[in-house]
Amino acid sequence: MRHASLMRRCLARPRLLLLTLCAALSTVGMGLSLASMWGGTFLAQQWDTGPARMALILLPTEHPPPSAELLQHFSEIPGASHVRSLSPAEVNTLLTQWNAPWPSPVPPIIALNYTGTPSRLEQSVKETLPTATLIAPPQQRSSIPSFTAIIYPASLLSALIGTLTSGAVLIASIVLSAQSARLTQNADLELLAQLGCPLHRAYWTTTLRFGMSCCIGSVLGLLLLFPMLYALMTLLSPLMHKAPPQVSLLFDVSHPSWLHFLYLLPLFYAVLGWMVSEFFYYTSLRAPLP
Amino acid sequence: MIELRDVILPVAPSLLKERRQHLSLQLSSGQFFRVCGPAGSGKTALLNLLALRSAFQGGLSLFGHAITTRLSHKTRTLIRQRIGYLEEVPFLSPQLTLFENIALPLSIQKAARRDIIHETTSILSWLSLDHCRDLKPSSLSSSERLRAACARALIARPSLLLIEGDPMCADPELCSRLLPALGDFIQSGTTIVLTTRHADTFEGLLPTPSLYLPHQPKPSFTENEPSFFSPPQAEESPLSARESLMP
Repeated sequence: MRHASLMRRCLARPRLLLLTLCAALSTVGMGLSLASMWGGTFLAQQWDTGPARMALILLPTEHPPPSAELLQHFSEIPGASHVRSLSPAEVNTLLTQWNAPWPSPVPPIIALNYTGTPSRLEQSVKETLPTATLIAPPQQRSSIPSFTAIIYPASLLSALIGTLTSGAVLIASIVLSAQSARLTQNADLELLAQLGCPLHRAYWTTTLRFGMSCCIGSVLGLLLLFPMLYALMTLLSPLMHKAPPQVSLLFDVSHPSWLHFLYLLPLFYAVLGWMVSEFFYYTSLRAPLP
Repeated sequence: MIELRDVILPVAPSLLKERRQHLSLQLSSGQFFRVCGPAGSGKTALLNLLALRSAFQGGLSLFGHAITTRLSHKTRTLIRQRIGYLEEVPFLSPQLTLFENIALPLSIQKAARRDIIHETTSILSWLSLDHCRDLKPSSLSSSERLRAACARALIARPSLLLIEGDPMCADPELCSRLLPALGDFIQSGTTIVLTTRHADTFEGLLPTPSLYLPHQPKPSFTENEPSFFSPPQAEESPLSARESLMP
């Protein structure tokens, strides 16, 4: 018989299933908010700078994959940057967008950002690869910059609202659950107080349980969030002119590293759940002094 | 050891028009004190006040500590550990077994595991509760619950024992075992305050001064002056003490 164990067991065990579900929903909400911010910014960036200035050089199907020297050659053209060879998955995505059935094998494609005059690029391509086809950058629409200028702050604002709402929902859930648990344990806590028990020794494990519930809820939320993000990214990848994510746990290597903060959410939620419930118990159990 | 200075206790309006009574009291270590009075006379309020379970107006000092709003939480906790309270309707934790409920005060005081088991087993045996040591309170009879509460109040050998005596009258077996034990407790320095509705209950069993509620003693209290309810002199007989305290 351990002292702490007896005092801990004296308290009725709170039911924290609802808190776990709220933590899961909050995690999903927070994750979607952060991902939408990244997605919105990335999309705007792509529209702003990417496709409008992207030139594609289609090599003949029988041509071997572009060598490093060839890529280096194109990158030396004035106004050209980010020269790279598209992967087969990216080529397939591109061809799907063009809605053109393409018999295998797919042609090697070189993509580059070009800000110079189209004739200069065309000339350079013809000199180097006479059999290649150049798809010059499309004409930039005048409405796009003003549209993307709105997207940046809008995505930031929506992410902020979403994150704050998710956080507020979680904190409210913790407080309500703590209030409910406190009511359930009221008689037990009163008994312990009357017997001269320092109550923090008794309710410490209850608050720890709150933290654990939040942590488990957050893990469940992440398990829901990852497939959702994957599905969303797959749907949006044509818009982003990217191949569907070829990643293990949904995070493409090109994603910003701060989005990996989502992995830390269970730990963060556990600490939040423990601290909020501990604070609630501490304040509510400060016995009124005679 | 225990001192009440002009403490205000509530009284039923049918007993006292003012609905409140002033009480000053001094109890020393190893004293048995009986409080008599009808329902609504403030007996339970007095015990709750002494057990630090309710707010009060006036001055209270327990074990040398003035009970004020500035009393630290730790001191209050330690004082409560020295008080045993046998209530009329005791509450036992429904999550714990009878054995664990009784062992709870010792566990709170961090007694050694061996001592907890020994003391709890002894007191269970003494109160004939061996057969239900592993049962939850919900499956106990009211008499067994009362005995369990009695065991819990006594197990930590409190310095101040507060007893609502009327329920004990319904259990003569408990009464016959408890009263001699109370004598031992008094010998070891425990102060006992027992409340009853009937003046003749427990009378003559122990030499005891009595307080009859409701009453209106002198409103002022001075330390040099003996209190109206100060304990009787050693040579005084219980009867004379009682007579002198009649309102």
